[in-house]
Amino acid sequence: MSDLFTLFISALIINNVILTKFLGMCPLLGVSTKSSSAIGMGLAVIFVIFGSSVFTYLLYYSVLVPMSLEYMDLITFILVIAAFVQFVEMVLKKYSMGLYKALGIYLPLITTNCVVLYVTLDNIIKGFNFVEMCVYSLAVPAGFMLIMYIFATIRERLELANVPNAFKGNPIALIVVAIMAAIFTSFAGLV
Amino acid sequence: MEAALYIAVLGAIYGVFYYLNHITPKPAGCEELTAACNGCSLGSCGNHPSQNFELKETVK
Amino acid sequence: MNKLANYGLNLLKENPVFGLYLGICSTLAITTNLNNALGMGVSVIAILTVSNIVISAMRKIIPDEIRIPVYIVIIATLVKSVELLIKAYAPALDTALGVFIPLIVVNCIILGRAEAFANQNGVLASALDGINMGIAYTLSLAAMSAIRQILATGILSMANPFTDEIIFSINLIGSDYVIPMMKEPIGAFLTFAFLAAGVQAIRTYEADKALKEVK
Repeated sequence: MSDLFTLFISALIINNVILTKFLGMCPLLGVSTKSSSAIGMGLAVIFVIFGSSVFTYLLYYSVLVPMSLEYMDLITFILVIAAFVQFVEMVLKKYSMGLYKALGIYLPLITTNCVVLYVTLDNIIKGFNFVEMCVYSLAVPAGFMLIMYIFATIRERLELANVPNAFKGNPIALIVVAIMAAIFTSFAGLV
Repeated sequence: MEAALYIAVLGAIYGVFYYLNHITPKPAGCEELTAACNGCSLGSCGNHPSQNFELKETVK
Repeated sequence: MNKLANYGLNLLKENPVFGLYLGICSTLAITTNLNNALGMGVSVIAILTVSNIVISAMRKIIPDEIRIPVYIVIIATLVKSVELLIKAYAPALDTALGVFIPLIVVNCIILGRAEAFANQNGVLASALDGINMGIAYTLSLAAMSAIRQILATGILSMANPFTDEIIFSINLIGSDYVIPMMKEPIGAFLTFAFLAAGVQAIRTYEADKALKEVK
Protein backbone atom coordinates (compact mmCIF):
# COMPACT_ATOMS: atom_id res chain seq x y z
CA MET A 1 0.00 0.00 0.00
CA SER A 2 2.80 2.42 0.77
CA ASP A 3 4.29 1.70 -2.68
CA LEU A 4 1.07 2.85 -4.25
CA PHE A 5 1.04 5.95 -2.10
CA THR A 6 4.64 6.73 -3.06
CA LEU A 7 3.74 6.25 -6.72
CA PHE A 8 0.77 8.57 -6.36
CA ILE A 9 2.64 11.37 -4.61
CA SER A 10 5.65 11.17 -6.86
CA ALA A 11 3.55 11.33 -10.03
CA LEU A 12 1.42 14.12 -8.59
CA ILE A 13 3.98 16.63 -7.33
CA ILE A 14 7.54 15.35 -7.30
CA ASN A 15 7.79 14.32 -10.94
CA ASN A 16 4.99 16.57 -12.07
CA VAL A 17 4.19 16.06 -15.72
CA ILE A 18 4.30 19.75 -16.65
CA LEU A 19 7.11 21.02 -14.48
CA THR A 20 9.59 18.18 -14.80
CA LYS A 21 8.59 16.42 -18.00
CA PHE A 22 7.47 19.46 -20.00
CA LEU A 23 4.37 17.80 -21.44
CA GLY A 24 1.04 19.52 -21.85
CA MET A 25 2.56 22.95 -22.44
CA CYS A 26 0.28 23.79 -25.36
CA PRO A 27 -3.00 23.62 -23.39
CA LEU A 28 -1.26 25.24 -20.43
CA LEU A 29 -0.46 28.39 -22.38
CA GLY A 30 -3.72 28.34 -24.31
CA VAL A 31 -6.49 27.45 -21.89
CA SER A 32 -5.18 28.89 -18.66
CA THR A 33 -6.52 32.42 -18.93
CA LYS A 34 -9.53 31.79 -16.71
CA SER A 35 -9.48 29.56 -13.65
CA SER A 36 -12.92 28.08 -14.35
CA SER A 37 -11.85 26.86 -17.77
CA ALA A 38 -8.68 25.43 -16.21
CA ILE A 39 -10.79 23.25 -13.90
CA GLY A 40 -13.05 22.15 -16.74
CA MET A 41 -10.09 21.18 -18.89
CA GLY A 42 -8.41 19.42 -15.97
CA LEU A 43 -11.44 17.26 -15.17
CA ALA A 44 -11.84 16.32 -18.82
CA VAL A 45 -8.17 15.31 -19.00
CA ILE A 46 -8.43 13.16 -15.83
CA PHE A 47 -11.44 11.38 -17.22
CA VAL A 48 -9.99 10.74 -20.67
CA ILE A 49 -6.58 9.63 -19.42
CA PHE A 50 -8.00 7.18 -16.88
CA GLY A 51 -10.43 5.62 -19.32
CA SER A 52 -8.06 5.34 -22.25
CA SER A 53 -5.24 4.03 -20.00
CA VAL A 54 -7.42 1.16 -18.85
CA PHE A 55 -8.49 0.30 -22.38
CA THR A 56 -5.06 0.58 -23.98
CA TYR A 57 -3.46 -1.43 -21.16
CA LEU A 58 -5.97 -4.26 -21.57
CA LEU A 59 -5.70 -4.12 -25.35
CA TYR A 60 -1.89 -4.20 -25.28
CA TYR A 61 -1.57 -7.17 -22.98
CA SER A 62 -4.44 -9.24 -24.31
CA VAL A 63 -4.18 -8.62 -28.06
CA LEU A 64 -0.90 -7.04 -29.11
CA VAL A 65 1.51 -9.15 -27.07
CA PRO A 66 -0.03 -12.57 -27.88
CA MET A 67 -0.10 -11.69 -31.56
CA SER A 68 3.45 -10.21 -31.30
CA LEU A 69 2.34 -6.96 -32.85
CA GLU A 70 4.07 -4.71 -30.28
CA TYR A 71 5.21 -2.30 -32.96
CA MET A 72 1.58 -1.37 -33.56
CA ASP A 73 1.29 0.21 -30.15
CA LEU A 74 1.45 3.83 -31.32
CA ILE A 75 -1.33 3.58 -33.88
CA THR A 76 -3.46 1.41 -31.59
CA PHE A 77 -3.23 3.83 -28.70
CA ILE A 78 -4.11 6.81 -30.86
CA LEU A 79 -7.15 5.14 -32.36
CA VAL A 80 -8.34 3.93 -28.96
CA ILE A 81 -7.93 7.41 -27.46
CA ALA A 82 -9.82 9.01 -30.34
CA ALA A 83 -12.64 6.45 -30.15
CA PHE A 84 -12.88 6.83 -26.39
CA VAL A 85 -13.13 10.62 -26.64
CA GLN A 86 -15.96 10.34 -29.15
CA PHE A 87 -17.72 7.82 -26.92
CA VAL A 88 -17.40 10.01 -23.83
CA GLU A 89 -18.71 13.04 -25.69
CA MET A 90 -21.75 11.08 -26.89
CA VAL A 91 -22.50 9.77 -23.40
CA LEU A 92 -22.22 13.25 -21.92
CA LYS A 93 -24.49 14.73 -24.54
CA LYS A 94 -27.18 12.16 -23.85
CA TYR A 95 -27.09 11.83 -20.11
CA SER A 96 -25.56 14.81 -18.39
CA MET A 97 -26.08 18.35 -19.57
CA GLY A 98 -24.23 19.84 -16.61
CA LEU A 99 -21.10 17.84 -17.24
CA TYR A 100 -21.29 18.51 -20.96
CA LYS A 101 -21.44 22.23 -20.30
CA ALA A 102 -18.46 22.03 -17.98
CA LEU A 103 -16.13 19.78 -19.91
CA GLY A 104 -17.64 18.70 -23.19
CA ILE A 105 -16.07 21.49 -25.18
CA TYR A 106 -12.56 20.52 -24.14
CA LEU A 107 -12.90 16.91 -25.21
CA PRO A 108 -11.90 17.27 -28.89
CA LEU A 109 -8.86 19.21 -27.70
CA ILE A 110 -7.60 16.26 -25.72
CA THR A 111 -7.29 13.80 -28.57
CA THR A 112 -3.94 15.20 -29.64
CA ASN A 113 -2.71 16.12 -26.21
CA CYS A 114 0.85 15.05 -25.35
CA VAL A 115 -0.11 14.00 -21.83
CA VAL A 116 -2.66 11.38 -22.88
CA LEU A 117 -0.30 9.61 -25.26
CA TYR A 118 2.55 9.91 -22.76
CA VAL A 119 0.60 8.19 -19.96
CA THR A 120 -0.58 5.36 -22.20
CA LEU A 121 2.96 4.75 -23.47
CA ASP A 122 4.50 5.08 -20.03
CA ASN A 123 2.24 2.42 -18.50
CA ILE A 124 3.80 -0.05 -20.92
CA ILE A 125 7.38 1.19 -20.64
CA LYS A 126 7.37 1.12 -16.84
CA GLY A 127 5.75 -2.33 -16.74
CA PHE A 128 3.06 -1.63 -14.18
CA ASN A 129 0.50 -4.15 -13.04
CA PHE A 130 -3.16 -3.21 -13.22
CA VAL A 131 -3.53 -1.48 -9.84
CA GLU A 132 -0.32 0.50 -10.25
CA MET A 133 -1.48 1.54 -13.69
CA CYS A 134 -4.77 2.86 -12.29
CA VAL A 135 -3.01 4.84 -9.57
CA TYR A 136 -0.48 6.29 -12.00
CA SER A 137 -3.05 7.29 -14.58
CA LEU A 138 -5.07 9.10 -11.93
CA ALA A 139 -2.09 10.87 -10.38
CA VAL A 140 -0.53 12.28 -13.54
CA PRO A 141 -3.62 14.18 -14.82
CA ALA A 142 -4.39 15.31 -11.28
CA GLY A 143 -0.95 16.91 -11.22
CA PHE A 144 -1.67 18.46 -14.59
CA MET A 145 -4.93 19.95 -13.31
CA LEU A 146 -3.25 21.24 -10.15
CA ILE A 147 -0.59 23.13 -12.07
CA MET A 148 -3.08 24.46 -14.60
CA TYR A 149 -5.32 25.79 -11.86
CA ILE A 150 -2.50 27.48 -9.93
CA PHE A 151 -1.15 28.92 -13.16
CA ALA A 152 -4.56 30.24 -14.21
CA THR A 153 -5.04 32.08 -10.94
CA ILE A 154 -1.60 33.66 -11.27
CA ARG A 155 -2.26 34.58 -14.87
CA GLU A 156 -5.49 36.34 -14.02
CA ARG A 157 -3.47 38.67 -11.80
CA LEU A 158 -0.73 38.99 -14.41
CA GLU A 159 -3.19 40.59 -16.83
CA LEU A 160 -3.35 43.63 -14.56
CA ALA A 161 0.40 43.98 -14.05
CA ASN A 162 2.74 46.33 -15.85
CA VAL A 163 4.71 43.97 -18.08
CA PRO A 164 7.33 45.20 -20.60
CA ASN A 165 6.15 45.01 -24.20
CA ALA A 166 8.54 42.28 -25.26
CA PHE A 167 7.36 40.01 -22.46
CA LYS A 168 3.61 40.49 -22.72
CA GLY A 169 1.59 37.35 -23.08
CA ASN A 170 3.46 34.07 -23.28
CA PRO A 171 7.07 34.99 -22.36
CA ILE A 172 6.15 36.32 -18.91
CA ALA A 173 3.90 33.30 -18.43
CA LEU A 174 6.88 31.06 -19.12
CA ILE A 175 8.94 32.89 -16.51
CA VAL A 176 6.14 32.24 -14.02
CA VAL A 177 6.29 28.54 -14.93
CA ALA A 178 10.07 28.63 -14.42
CA ILE A 179 9.61 29.94 -10.88
CA MET A 180 6.95 27.30 -10.20
CA ALA A 181 9.33 24.61 -11.47
CA ALA A 182 12.03 25.83 -9.10
CA ILE A 183 9.58 25.80 -6.18
CA PHE A 184 8.32 22.31 -6.93
CA THR A 185 11.84 20.85 -6.95
CA SER A 186 11.79 21.48 -3.22
CA PHE A 187 9.45 18.49 -2.91
CA ALA A 188 12.19 16.16 -4.05
CA GLY A 189 12.90 14.60 -0.66
CA LEU A 190 9.26 14.10 0.32
CA VAL A 191 8.93 10.32 -0.01
CA MET B 1 -1.38 -9.21 -42.82
CA GLU B 2 -3.14 -9.40 -39.50
CA ALA B 3 -1.74 -5.95 -38.76
CA ALA B 4 -3.75 -4.39 -41.58
CA LEU B 5 -6.87 -6.26 -40.46
CA TYR B 6 -6.29 -5.10 -36.91
CA ILE B 7 -6.01 -1.43 -37.95
CA ALA B 8 -9.15 -1.82 -40.05
CA VAL B 9 -11.07 -3.16 -37.03
CA LEU B 10 -9.89 -0.32 -34.83
CA GLY B 11 -10.68 2.22 -37.50
CA ALA B 12 -14.15 0.75 -37.85
CA ILE B 13 -14.73 1.01 -34.09
CA TYR B 14 -13.64 4.65 -34.25
CA GLY B 15 -15.95 5.22 -37.21
CA VAL B 16 -18.92 3.75 -35.35
CA PHE B 17 -18.34 5.91 -32.29
CA TYR B 18 -17.76 9.01 -34.42
CA TYR B 19 -21.01 8.40 -36.28
CA LEU B 20 -22.98 7.85 -33.07
CA ASN B 21 -21.51 11.03 -31.63
CA HIS B 22 -22.33 12.95 -34.78
CA ILE B 23 -26.02 12.06 -34.72
CA THR B 24 -26.72 12.73 -31.03
CA PRO B 25 -27.90 16.33 -30.67
CA LYS B 26 -26.45 18.64 -28.11
CA PRO B 27 -28.58 19.08 -24.97
CA ALA B 28 -30.92 22.06 -24.82
CA GLY B 29 -29.13 25.27 -23.96
CA CYS B 30 -25.75 23.99 -25.03
CA GLU B 31 -25.88 25.11 -28.63
CA GLU B 32 -23.50 28.01 -28.31
CA LEU B 33 -20.72 26.82 -26.05
CA THR B 34 -17.17 27.75 -26.68
CA ALA B 35 -14.08 27.17 -24.64
CA ALA B 36 -12.75 30.27 -22.92
CA CYS B 37 -9.33 29.88 -24.44
CA ASN B 38 -7.23 32.25 -26.47
CA GLY B 39 -6.49 29.80 -29.25
CA CYS B 40 -3.41 27.74 -28.44
CA SER B 41 -1.36 26.12 -31.11
CA LEU B 42 -3.22 22.80 -31.21
CA GLY B 43 -4.56 22.88 -34.74
CA SER B 44 -6.93 19.98 -34.35
CA CYS B 45 -8.99 21.58 -31.58
CA GLY B 46 -12.47 22.60 -32.59
CA ASN B 47 -11.90 26.12 -31.32
CA HIS B 48 -8.82 26.84 -33.38
CA PRO B 49 -9.24 29.65 -35.94
CA SER B 50 -8.28 27.30 -38.73
CA GLN B 51 -11.42 25.24 -38.25
CA ASN B 52 -13.74 27.92 -39.74
CA PHE B 53 -16.28 28.15 -36.97
CA GLU B 54 -18.57 31.12 -36.51
CA LEU B 55 -18.13 33.30 -33.49
CA LYS B 56 -20.11 32.09 -30.53
CA GLU B 57 -20.59 33.79 -27.21
CA THR B 58 -18.95 32.31 -24.17
CA VAL B 59 -21.09 30.57 -21.62
CA LYS B 60 -21.10 32.26 -18.21
CA MET C 1 23.35 38.34 -49.80
CA ASN C 2 20.16 40.30 -49.33
CA LYS C 3 18.11 37.19 -49.95
CA LEU C 4 19.97 35.34 -47.23
CA ALA C 5 19.48 38.22 -44.82
CA ASN C 6 15.81 38.28 -45.72
CA TYR C 7 15.54 34.55 -45.14
CA GLY C 8 17.26 34.91 -41.78
CA LEU C 9 14.92 37.70 -40.73
CA ASN C 10 11.90 35.69 -41.78
CA LEU C 11 13.19 32.81 -39.73
CA LEU C 12 13.16 35.09 -36.71
CA LYS C 13 9.79 36.64 -37.30
CA GLU C 14 7.79 33.57 -38.31
CA ASN C 15 9.65 31.19 -36.03
CA PRO C 16 7.45 28.14 -35.37
CA VAL C 17 8.90 27.56 -31.91
CA PHE C 18 9.46 31.00 -30.40
CA GLY C 19 6.95 32.98 -32.43
CA LEU C 20 4.01 30.61 -32.87
CA TYR C 21 4.68 28.36 -29.83
CA LEU C 22 4.31 25.12 -31.75
CA GLY C 23 6.02 22.00 -30.50
CA ILE C 24 7.28 23.49 -27.25
CA CYS C 25 6.97 20.25 -25.27
CA SER C 26 9.83 18.58 -27.08
CA THR C 27 11.84 21.81 -27.33
CA LEU C 28 11.98 22.27 -23.58
CA ALA C 29 12.68 18.65 -22.80
CA ILE C 30 15.52 17.61 -25.06
CA THR C 31 17.63 20.72 -25.57
CA THR C 32 20.19 19.84 -22.93
CA ASN C 33 22.88 19.32 -25.50
CA LEU C 34 23.53 19.91 -29.17
CA ASN C 35 23.46 16.24 -30.20
CA ASN C 36 19.91 15.71 -29.04
CA ALA C 37 18.74 18.89 -30.69
CA LEU C 38 20.23 17.99 -34.07
CA GLY C 39 19.00 14.40 -33.86
CA MET C 40 15.46 15.49 -33.06
CA GLY C 41 15.60 18.23 -35.67
CA VAL C 42 16.64 15.89 -38.45
CA SER C 43 13.92 13.38 -37.51
CA VAL C 44 11.30 16.13 -37.55
CA ILE C 45 12.48 17.41 -40.95
CA ALA C 46 12.18 13.91 -42.40
CA ILE C 47 8.76 13.19 -40.88
CA LEU C 48 7.37 16.64 -41.67
CA THR C 49 8.42 16.53 -45.33
CA VAL C 50 7.16 13.01 -45.98
CA SER C 51 3.88 13.56 -44.14
CA ASN C 52 3.30 16.83 -46.02
CA ILE C 53 3.89 15.03 -49.32
CA VAL C 54 1.58 12.13 -48.45
CA ILE C 55 -1.22 14.29 -47.07
CA SER C 56 -1.00 16.69 -49.98
CA ALA C 57 -1.15 13.81 -52.45
CA MET C 58 -4.23 12.39 -50.72
CA ARG C 59 -5.99 15.64 -50.00
CA LYS C 60 -8.74 15.16 -52.57
CA ILE C 61 -9.84 11.74 -51.34
CA ILE C 62 -9.92 12.25 -47.58
CA PRO C 63 -13.42 13.29 -46.41
CA ASP C 64 -13.46 16.48 -44.45
CA GLU C 65 -14.97 15.35 -41.14
CA ILE C 66 -12.53 12.58 -40.33
CA ARG C 67 -9.39 14.20 -41.64
CA ILE C 68 -7.74 14.68 -38.24
CA PRO C 69 -7.65 10.99 -37.27
CA VAL C 70 -6.54 10.04 -40.79
CA TYR C 71 -3.66 12.53 -40.61
CA ILE C 72 -2.70 11.22 -37.20
CA VAL C 73 -2.62 7.61 -38.41
CA ILE C 74 -0.42 8.58 -41.37
CA ILE C 75 1.95 10.52 -39.12
CA ALA C 76 1.98 7.68 -36.56
CA THR C 77 3.11 5.18 -39.19
CA LEU C 78 5.95 7.49 -40.24
CA VAL C 79 6.97 8.16 -36.64
CA LYS C 80 7.04 4.46 -35.78
CA SER C 81 9.27 3.73 -38.79
CA VAL C 82 11.67 6.53 -37.83
CA GLU C 83 11.69 5.31 -34.23
CA LEU C 84 12.59 1.77 -35.26
CA LEU C 85 15.35 3.12 -37.52
CA ILE C 86 16.78 5.24 -34.71
CA LYS C 87 16.66 2.30 -32.30
CA ALA C 88 18.58 0.21 -34.80
CA TYR C 89 21.20 2.62 -36.13
CA ALA C 90 21.69 5.32 -33.47
CA PRO C 91 20.90 3.79 -30.05
CA ALA C 92 22.65 6.60 -28.16
CA LEU C 93 20.14 9.04 -29.62
CA ASP C 94 17.30 6.74 -28.60
CA THR C 95 18.34 6.67 -24.94
CA ALA C 96 18.81 10.45 -24.93
CA LEU C 97 15.50 11.33 -26.56
CA GLY C 98 13.53 8.60 -24.84
CA VAL C 99 9.77 8.85 -25.05
CA PHE C 100 9.90 12.05 -27.11
CA ILE C 101 10.36 10.21 -30.38
CA PRO C 102 6.90 8.59 -30.23
CA LEU C 103 5.56 11.93 -29.00
CA ILE C 104 6.50 13.52 -32.33
CA VAL C 105 3.11 12.13 -33.42
CA VAL C 106 1.28 14.75 -31.40
CA ASN C 107 3.84 17.45 -32.09
CA CYS C 108 1.84 20.52 -32.97
CA ILE C 109 4.13 21.51 -35.83
CA ILE C 110 3.44 18.44 -37.96
CA LEU C 111 -0.30 18.38 -37.47
CA GLY C 112 -0.48 22.16 -37.69
CA ARG C 113 1.32 22.31 -41.05
CA ALA C 114 -0.79 19.46 -42.37
CA GLU C 115 -3.92 21.37 -41.41
CA ALA C 116 -2.82 24.78 -42.54
CA PHE C 117 -0.82 24.06 -45.66
CA ALA C 118 -0.70 20.51 -46.94
CA ASN C 119 -4.41 19.98 -47.36
CA GLN C 120 -4.79 22.99 -49.59
CA ASN C 121 -1.63 23.09 -51.71
CA GLY C 122 0.15 20.89 -54.22
CA VAL C 123 2.75 18.23 -53.50
CA LEU C 124 5.89 20.20 -54.39
CA ALA C 125 4.84 23.31 -52.46
CA SER C 126 3.98 21.20 -49.41
CA ALA C 127 7.32 19.41 -49.55
CA LEU C 128 9.21 22.71 -49.70
CA ASP C 129 7.13 24.07 -46.84
CA GLY C 130 7.90 20.97 -44.81
CA ILE C 131 11.65 21.34 -45.37
CA ASN C 132 11.46 25.05 -44.55
CA MET C 133 9.60 24.57 -41.30
CA GLY C 134 11.84 21.68 -40.35
CA ILE C 135 14.99 23.74 -40.89
CA ALA C 136 13.53 26.61 -38.84
CA TYR C 137 12.67 24.18 -36.05
CA THR C 138 16.13 22.59 -36.10
CA LEU C 139 17.89 25.95 -36.01
CA SER C 140 15.73 27.10 -33.10
CA LEU C 141 16.45 23.90 -31.20
CA ALA C 142 20.17 24.20 -31.95
CA ALA C 143 20.27 27.81 -30.72
CA MET C 144 18.50 26.97 -27.47
CA SER C 145 20.55 23.86 -26.78
CA ALA C 146 23.82 25.65 -27.55
CA ILE C 147 22.97 28.32 -24.98
CA ARG C 148 21.94 25.77 -22.37
CA GLN C 149 24.91 23.51 -22.93
CA ILE C 150 27.48 26.32 -22.84
CA LEU C 151 26.02 27.86 -19.69
CA ALA C 152 25.54 24.55 -17.89
CA THR C 153 28.77 22.73 -18.68
CA GLY C 154 31.04 25.26 -20.37
CA ILE C 155 31.70 22.85 -23.22
CA LEU C 156 30.15 22.91 -26.68
CA SER C 157 30.51 19.45 -28.13
CA MET C 158 28.97 17.24 -30.75
CA ALA C 159 29.32 13.51 -31.27
CA ASN C 160 28.49 11.32 -34.23
CA PRO C 161 25.18 9.62 -33.35
CA PHE C 162 25.95 6.48 -35.36
CA THR C 163 29.42 5.75 -34.01
CA ASP C 164 29.61 7.77 -30.77
CA GLU C 165 32.89 9.41 -31.63
CA ILE C 166 33.31 13.07 -30.74
CA ILE C 167 33.37 15.45 -33.68
CA PHE C 168 34.39 18.58 -31.81
CA SER C 169 34.51 19.75 -28.24
CA ILE C 170 35.25 23.38 -27.43
CA ASN C 171 35.74 24.54 -23.87
CA LEU C 172 34.26 28.04 -23.70
CA ILE C 173 33.75 28.82 -20.01
CA GLY C 174 36.00 27.65 -17.20
CA SER C 175 34.46 25.00 -14.98
CA ASP C 176 34.37 27.36 -11.99
CA TYR C 177 31.89 29.65 -13.68
CA VAL C 178 29.26 27.29 -15.03
CA ILE C 179 25.59 27.47 -14.02
CA PRO C 180 24.33 23.88 -13.52
CA MET C 181 20.80 25.24 -13.08
CA MET C 182 20.54 25.49 -16.85
CA LYS C 183 20.31 21.73 -17.13
CA GLU C 184 17.28 21.68 -14.85
CA PRO C 185 13.69 22.45 -15.92
CA ILE C 186 13.97 25.99 -14.60
CA GLY C 187 16.85 26.66 -16.96
CA ALA C 188 14.81 25.36 -19.87
CA PHE C 189 11.85 27.59 -19.10
CA LEU C 190 14.01 30.66 -18.55
CA THR C 191 15.99 30.25 -21.77
CA PHE C 192 12.81 29.67 -23.72
CA ALA C 193 11.12 32.71 -22.15
CA PHE C 194 14.01 35.01 -23.02
CA LEU C 195 14.32 33.76 -26.58
CA ALA C 196 10.55 34.10 -27.05
CA ALA C 197 10.69 37.62 -25.64
CA GLY C 198 13.47 38.43 -28.11
CA VAL C 199 11.40 37.24 -31.04
CA GLN C 200 8.38 39.14 -29.75
CA ALA C 201 10.47 42.29 -29.42
CA ILE C 202 11.57 41.99 -33.05
CA ARG C 203 8.00 41.48 -34.11
CA THR C 204 6.61 44.49 -32.23
CA TYR C 205 9.46 46.63 -33.59
CA GLU C 206 8.60 45.63 -37.14
CA ALA C 207 4.89 46.18 -36.50
CA ASP C 208 5.52 49.66 -35.07
CA LYS C 209 7.76 50.51 -38.01
CA ALA C 210 5.06 49.41 -40.47
CA LEU C 211 2.46 51.42 -38.58
CA LYS C 212 4.65 54.55 -38.70
CA GLU C 213 5.15 54.16 -42.45
CA VAL C 214 1.40 54.03 -42.98
CA LYS C 215 0.82 57.26 -41.12
